[in-house]
Amino acid sequence: MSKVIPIKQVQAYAEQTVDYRQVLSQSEIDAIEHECALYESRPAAAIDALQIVQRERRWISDESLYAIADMLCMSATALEGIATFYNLIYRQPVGQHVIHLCNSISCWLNDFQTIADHLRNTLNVEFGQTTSDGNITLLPNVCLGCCNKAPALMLDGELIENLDIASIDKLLQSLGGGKNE
Amino acid sequence: MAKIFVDNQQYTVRDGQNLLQACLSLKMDLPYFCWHPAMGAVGACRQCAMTQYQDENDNRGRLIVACMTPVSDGMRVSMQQPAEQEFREQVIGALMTHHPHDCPVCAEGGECHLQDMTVMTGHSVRHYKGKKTTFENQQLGPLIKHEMNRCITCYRCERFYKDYAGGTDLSAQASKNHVYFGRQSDGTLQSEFAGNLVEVCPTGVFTDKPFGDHYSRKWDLQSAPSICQHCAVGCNTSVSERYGSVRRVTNRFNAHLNSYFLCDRGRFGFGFVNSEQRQRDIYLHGKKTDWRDADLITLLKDKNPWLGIGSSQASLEDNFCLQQLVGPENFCPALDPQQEDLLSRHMTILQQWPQASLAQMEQADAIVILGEDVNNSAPRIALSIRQALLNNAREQAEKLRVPAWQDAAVRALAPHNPVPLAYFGYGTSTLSELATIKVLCDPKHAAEQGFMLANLLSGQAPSPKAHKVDPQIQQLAQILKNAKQPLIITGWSAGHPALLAAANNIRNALAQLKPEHDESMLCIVPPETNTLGLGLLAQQGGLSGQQLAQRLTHNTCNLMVLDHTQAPFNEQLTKLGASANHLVRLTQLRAGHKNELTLPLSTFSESSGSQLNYQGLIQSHIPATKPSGQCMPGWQWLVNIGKLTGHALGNMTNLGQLRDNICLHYPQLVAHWLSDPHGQMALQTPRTSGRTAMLANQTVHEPKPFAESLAPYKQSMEGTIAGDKGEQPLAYSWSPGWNSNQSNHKFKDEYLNGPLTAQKGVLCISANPSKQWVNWQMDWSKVNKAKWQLLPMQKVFGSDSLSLHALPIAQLKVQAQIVMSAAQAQSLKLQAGQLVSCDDNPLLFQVVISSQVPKSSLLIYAPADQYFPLTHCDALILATQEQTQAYRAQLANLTGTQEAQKQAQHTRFLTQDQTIPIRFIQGAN
Repeated sequence: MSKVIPIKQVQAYAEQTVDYRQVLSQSEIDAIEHECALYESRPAAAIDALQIVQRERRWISDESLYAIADMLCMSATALEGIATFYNLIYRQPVGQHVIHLCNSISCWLNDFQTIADHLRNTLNVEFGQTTSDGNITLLPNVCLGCCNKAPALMLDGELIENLDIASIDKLLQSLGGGKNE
Repeated sequence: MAKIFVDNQQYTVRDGQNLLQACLSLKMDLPYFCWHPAMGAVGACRQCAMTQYQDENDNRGRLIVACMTPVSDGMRVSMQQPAEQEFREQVIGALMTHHPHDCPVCAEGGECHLQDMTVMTGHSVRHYKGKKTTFENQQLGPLIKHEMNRCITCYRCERFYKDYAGGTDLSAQASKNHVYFGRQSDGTLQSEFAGNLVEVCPTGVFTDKPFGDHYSRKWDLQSAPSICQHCAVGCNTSVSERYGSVRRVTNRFNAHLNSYFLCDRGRFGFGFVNSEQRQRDIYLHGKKTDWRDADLITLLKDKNPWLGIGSSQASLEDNFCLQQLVGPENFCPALDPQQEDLLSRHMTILQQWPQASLAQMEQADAIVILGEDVNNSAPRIALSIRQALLNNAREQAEKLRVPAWQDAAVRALAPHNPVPLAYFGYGTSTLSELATIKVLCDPKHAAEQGFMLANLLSGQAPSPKAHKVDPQIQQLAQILKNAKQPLIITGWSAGHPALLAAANNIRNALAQLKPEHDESMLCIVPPETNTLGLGLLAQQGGLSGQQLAQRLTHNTCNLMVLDHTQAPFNEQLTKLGASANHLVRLTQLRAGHKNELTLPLSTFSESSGSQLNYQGLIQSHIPATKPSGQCMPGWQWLVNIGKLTGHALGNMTNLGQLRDNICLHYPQLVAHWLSDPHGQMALQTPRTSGRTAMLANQTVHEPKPFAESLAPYKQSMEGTIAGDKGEQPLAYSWSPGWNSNQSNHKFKDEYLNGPLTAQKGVLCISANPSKQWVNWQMDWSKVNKAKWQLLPMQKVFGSDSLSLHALPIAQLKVQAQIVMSAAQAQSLKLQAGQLVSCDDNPLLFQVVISSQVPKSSLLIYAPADQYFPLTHCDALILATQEQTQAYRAQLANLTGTQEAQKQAQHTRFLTQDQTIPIRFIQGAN
C-alpha cells in the first residue's frame, strides 16, 4: 500500500507529459484541430476529441488521454473528469458490441431487474464486464429518454425498446452469442 | 438594508447577500455544506432549504434553497416549519448513503461539519438499505490524506482547488453515485494551497497527514493564537499542542490578511519546532553546560565591546533587547550590503505610502507586478491577486442583475471580462501565466520600465534616459489612468532596490493623477516574518555589515548573534566568528559550531513575541506550550545577561515591563499592547479530557494550567472562552453545536461580502504621503563583463529556511535548479535534467528549460540551506558521470533517510506521550 512519494515535479502542473504527435495519428490530429477551430478555447473541444479518438481505437487508454490533454492544453485530471462523466466514453477496452441497459426509474418500474438478471445470467458477466470471447460488453445507463417504451437498451448506438426475455434472446443470437467461460 | 421575516420574527439585514449568509450573520443555526463564505454559492447540496411565503396570508409557501436566494425587502421565510425541516433531514440522509460512519477512526471526528449538521438536522436513523459504494483512495503526497468513502459530494474541494486557487490536478470525476474527487493518478498535489482542503472539506475526505500521524482530538488540543513564521504576510494561525509536542497549525480568521486560507508552507512548516535539530541545551565550546557555569559567566562578563547582529527570524522583543544590550551603535541589522540597501529603501517608502492589506488587494481592478515572484515569496498574496482577477466579471454580473456571490455565473463571465495584470519579470508562475501584459525582462530592465511608466503617468516623475517607450507600456499607462483601484506589487525576491524605487514613483504618479480619489495601492514584499521589525529598530542607526567586519578585525570585540538559519548568513557568521573574541549565538536550531556559547531559544509556539508584517503591522503570538529543555525566549536570555553585566536591561522583571520599555522608544506601539489579551484566556477547550489522569503515573496532583513564565498574561482552561469577547483573538474556533472551523461565523458581525471595514491593528511605520520622487542614478547599460548574469529564483518549498526543518516540507523541497532558454541549452549542448555547476562553485544544478529567461541571463535557484554566492558566471560545467551518479544516489538516499527520520520522530513522539514530561505542565516541576 505504501508507495514512494515522488518529489514534487519541477514543471509546475505537468502530470504525465506525452507529446501528442507521437501518440495520435495524423488523421486524428487533423480531425481534432478542425473541432478546435470551431470553439473559443482548445479545452472546449474535449468531448469531440475523445469521440474522435474512440472512433479510431474503440476506447480511451491512459496514453490517449494524456495525448489529448497535451494537444488541448489542459490537465489530464480535467480531461479525466470529462471522460469519466460520459458513459459513452470508454476508459477500459470494450467488446465488439456494447449493450447499455437503461436503469432509470421508468425502466426500473417496468421490470428492469428481470431483464438485467437475464442478460447477466445468459452472458455470465456483471455490469461493466466483457464476455471472455471479447464479443459483448454489458453496461448500465442513466435514462435513454424513451420512458414510454421501457424497458430499453442501446446496442452499439442503436435504441431497442419494449424489451422482454424473448426479444433479448433474439438479440443475443443475432450478435453471435457471446460466452463467458 | 432589507427587512426580512424569519419564522415571523423581523430582522434587518444587509442588501445584496443571500439568505443563508443573512441567517448565519444573524447567528441562526441553518445547516449547509457547499456554500463557503469566500467561495460564493452554487447550490450543490440543497442542505440550506427554507420555505418562502408570498405574503402574511400565504401559509403554504414553497421550498427554496437559501444560499441561492437573494434577500429582498419584506421577504417572508421560515426555517423551523416541519416541511423544510423534513426536507433538510432527507437531504442529509441522501448525502450520507455512502458515508461509512467511521467517525471513531476518522481524523475529522470531533470537528466535523458533517457530524454537526447531522445532529442539527436531527437525522438520527438510517433509512437507506442498499449497498454503499466504496472507492480506492489515492496517495496525494506527504501533506494530505485521502479517504474518498467519506465524501458527500458537496464539490467544495474542487471549487477551492481549481476555481479559487487555480490548481489543475484535482477534479471531480465520474457521475451519479460514483462521483470521485482526486487526481488522474496517484501523486503529490501540486498546488501550494492544497493544505486548505483539510479545512474546506466538511468531512474527512482530505485530512492533515502529519497531524493524523500523531493525532489528538480537537477537544484535547491546547491551542493559542499565533502568527505564521514563514513569510512576511503574517497570516494569523492557531497553533495546537498536546503532551508538549506541537500537533498542527490551522487557519485563524483575519479579515484583512489570510481570511480563510493559508499556504502549505505556513500550515506545515511549523515542524521545525519538534525537530531533532532543535537546540535544547546551553553549549559552551561544544560542551553541554548550564547557566551557573563559571566559564560561561566569565565569558559573558567580558569587558571588551560587544557587537550584536539582529535577526529577521526573531521577534521584535528579542531584537530590541539585543540592541539595548550592545547599544544601538553596535547593533547590525543586516550583514549583506544588498539587504541593507533594500531595507533602508523599503523603510523610506513605507514612511511615504501605506501598504495594501490582502483584502484591499482583492478589490484591485488593475495590477502591475514589478519583478516580484509573489507566488513563491509570499504565496498568500498571490492567492489574493487571483481573486482580484474576477472583479470585472463580478461587476459585469451585477450589471446583468446577477449577484456577485453567484460563483458559477461570475466564473463563466470571467474569460470575457479580464482584469488587466501586467507582469514584468522572468520565470514562470501561475500569476505570470494569467498576465494580460507580459514583459520578459531582468530586474534592472523591469525597474527601468517602471520608471518609464511613472514618467508616462506624470510628467514630473524622473525618467531614465532610455530608449523608445514600448507600446505595451503606453497601453499599461492608459489602463492605470482608467483604473479605480490599481495595485502595484514589488519586493525583495529579485534583490534589486531600483524596483522598490520604481514602484514608489508609479504610486506617486497615480496619486498625482487622482488627487481627490486616490485609491491606488502599493505592496512591497520583504523576505521574512520580521524583516520590517528589524527595519524599525535600524532607524536608530547602527552598524553595516562591512563596518561590523572591520570592527571585528581591527579591535578586540565580542559578538552576540540572534540566529538566522539561511545558508548565506551562516557562511558569513562563520567568517566573522573567527575574528571575534567571544561569540554568543542565540539559536533555535543546531548549527554545529564549536567555538561559541550557544543559548537555546524557544520557538514561536513556546513563547510570546511580536513581529511586523509587510505592512509594518505589529502582531503578537502567544505560546501554546512550555519551552523545551533549557530553552528560553531571546529577550529573557538577554535580560539575564543584562543582570550579569549590570546593564539597565537587567532590571526588567517580566515581558509586560519590557514591552512598556519598548513603547518608550516607539510610542505608537502602546495601542497594540493595550489591546493585547489581558487576564485569563482559555487555551484548552471546555471538555479537555484526561486532565486529572494524564500524569497519574507520575504524580497524583492535578497540575495547574500552563502559563508562560515572566509573561503578564495567564492562560487557563477556565478563562475567556474563544470568541467570548470580540476583541480577544481566538485560541481555537468553537461554538456550541459548531465544532468545526465553520463556527467562525458565530464570532463575526457580518459574514463577508459587505463593504470592507478598516483594518484593525497598529501600523508601526506611519505613512505620510510626501510625494517624494526617487531619482535613481543607474547605468542602464550592461556593466558586468561576465557572460551571463544569474537571476535569483525562489520556491515555496525551499526558499524558507525554517520550514525546511519540518519533515513534510523537507520531503517537498525543490533541489537546486538552473533555468535557461531552449536556444541557450542547444548552444551549450545541454538537456533538461542534466546537472551543471557554475564557474568554480561546486554546487550542482539541475537544468530546466523555459521560454521565460531574459537575454544573457540564467535563472538560478539555490535552496535556503545551500550556500551559493555567485551573481554572474562565465562557464557552465557539465557534471561528470560519477558526479551525476553520486547526486542521484544522494537524492534516492534522501528519500529513505527522510522516511527513517519520520519513523524515528514518530517513535519519539509516542514515547513522550507515554510518559508525559511533567515539566510541560505548570506547577508540577
